[in-house]
Amino acid sequence: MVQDSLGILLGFFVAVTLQVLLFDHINLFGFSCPSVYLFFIISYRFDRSQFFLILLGFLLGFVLDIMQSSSGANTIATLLISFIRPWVIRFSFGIIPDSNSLLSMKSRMGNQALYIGLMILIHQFVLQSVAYFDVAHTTLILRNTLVNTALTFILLLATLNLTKKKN
Amino acid sequence: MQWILNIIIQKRNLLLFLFLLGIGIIFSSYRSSYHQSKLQRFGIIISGGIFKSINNSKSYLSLTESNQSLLAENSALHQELLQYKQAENLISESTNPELNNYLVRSATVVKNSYAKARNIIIIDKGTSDGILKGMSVVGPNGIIGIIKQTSAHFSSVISILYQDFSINAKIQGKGAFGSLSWEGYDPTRMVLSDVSIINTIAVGDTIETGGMSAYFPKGIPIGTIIDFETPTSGGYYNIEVALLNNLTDLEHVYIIENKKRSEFIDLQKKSEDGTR
Repeated sequence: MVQDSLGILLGFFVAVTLQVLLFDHINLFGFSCPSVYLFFIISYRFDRSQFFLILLGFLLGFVLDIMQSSSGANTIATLLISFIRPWVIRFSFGIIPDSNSLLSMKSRMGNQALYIGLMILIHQFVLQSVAYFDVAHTTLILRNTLVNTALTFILLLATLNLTKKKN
Repeated sequence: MQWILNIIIQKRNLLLFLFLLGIGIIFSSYRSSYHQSKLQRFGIIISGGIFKSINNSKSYLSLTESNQSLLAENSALHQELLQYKQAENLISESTNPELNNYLVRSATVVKNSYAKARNIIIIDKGTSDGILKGMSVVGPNGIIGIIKQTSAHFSSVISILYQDFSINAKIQGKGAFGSLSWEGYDPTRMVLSDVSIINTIAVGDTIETGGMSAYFPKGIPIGTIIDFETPTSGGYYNIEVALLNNLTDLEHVYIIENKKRSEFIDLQKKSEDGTR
């Protein structure tokens, strides 16, 4: 229990630090920035408390907004994907996934990629929509969503493979 | 209480999400003036829509009072208009209330008729409201008829759509007089006869009350000329008039009391008796 909590705290701290100190400085094509901190939400064990995940998601986005001096878009986007995660899991893996952790999952890569891709896509869409908050900027929102989703997806998939190999 | 607690426990994730979402939105508006203004604009659209619906409902529920107040206002304005028209004919301007010959009251039509040969309208005012036989009745756009019979709370009105009933009328701005009557076919058309061909008339000319009877004050619009025939023999036009008032759709009318009507009738009677 204590070990689990410490693991979560460590993961939280690493996600925030890496995002703020490293990945926020990546500016691909002049506008694209990967949201690698999503790995914390995506890899959170499926059998753990959803209530706690929603709180963690809110805190994660909140801290990032404070650190990045942004307008609260991270808070709302991360909170939303923390809340809808069970439905995305059910859609990607079926009613009962074969493992309670993405890191030890043996199911097909397609399902895992679908799960990761959907989480990132929804997160980025909400993030960009809240950041711009204007229907007139729909083209910009869609462009940023697609490019950031692709970039984040590649990085998270690579991270997942590295983490799995370690295990 | 137990039931509420059960709901909270069952829906704790959703409630937490909504609560934190609210905090996130507040945080967002606090951090960014752009988001604050966008949210305020959104709030104005929502609240404006809600309050407009509430106001519409309130207006609808208070329509009766609004109608009564508008009717009273219209009566007063009609009266003022008659006063001004009267004042145009005086040599000197005067604010003497004795010169105000007309009193206007409003009423609602409870029964209308326009398809018969002789049509009668019933209104919801009677002797208890000061209505007497012989008073004239006008609508928003022109004349309606004359009070025929009264009871305590109702009165019957001979409509201008009544065969054998004719009204003294003149062509506005031209001084030509005639007699307006209804032929019994079309409730929107009347015929103006006895207008001499020495007068120049045109389609579009306005017909108004002539003021030569004790019923209608002078100058109340009736209709417009839509067609006329110059006879091959005889000295009078055959003029077709389109009524300004829609007598098939009457809701509110105004009754005009001519305070000097009885004096006019007495004088007329004496003059007629004297000539026999």
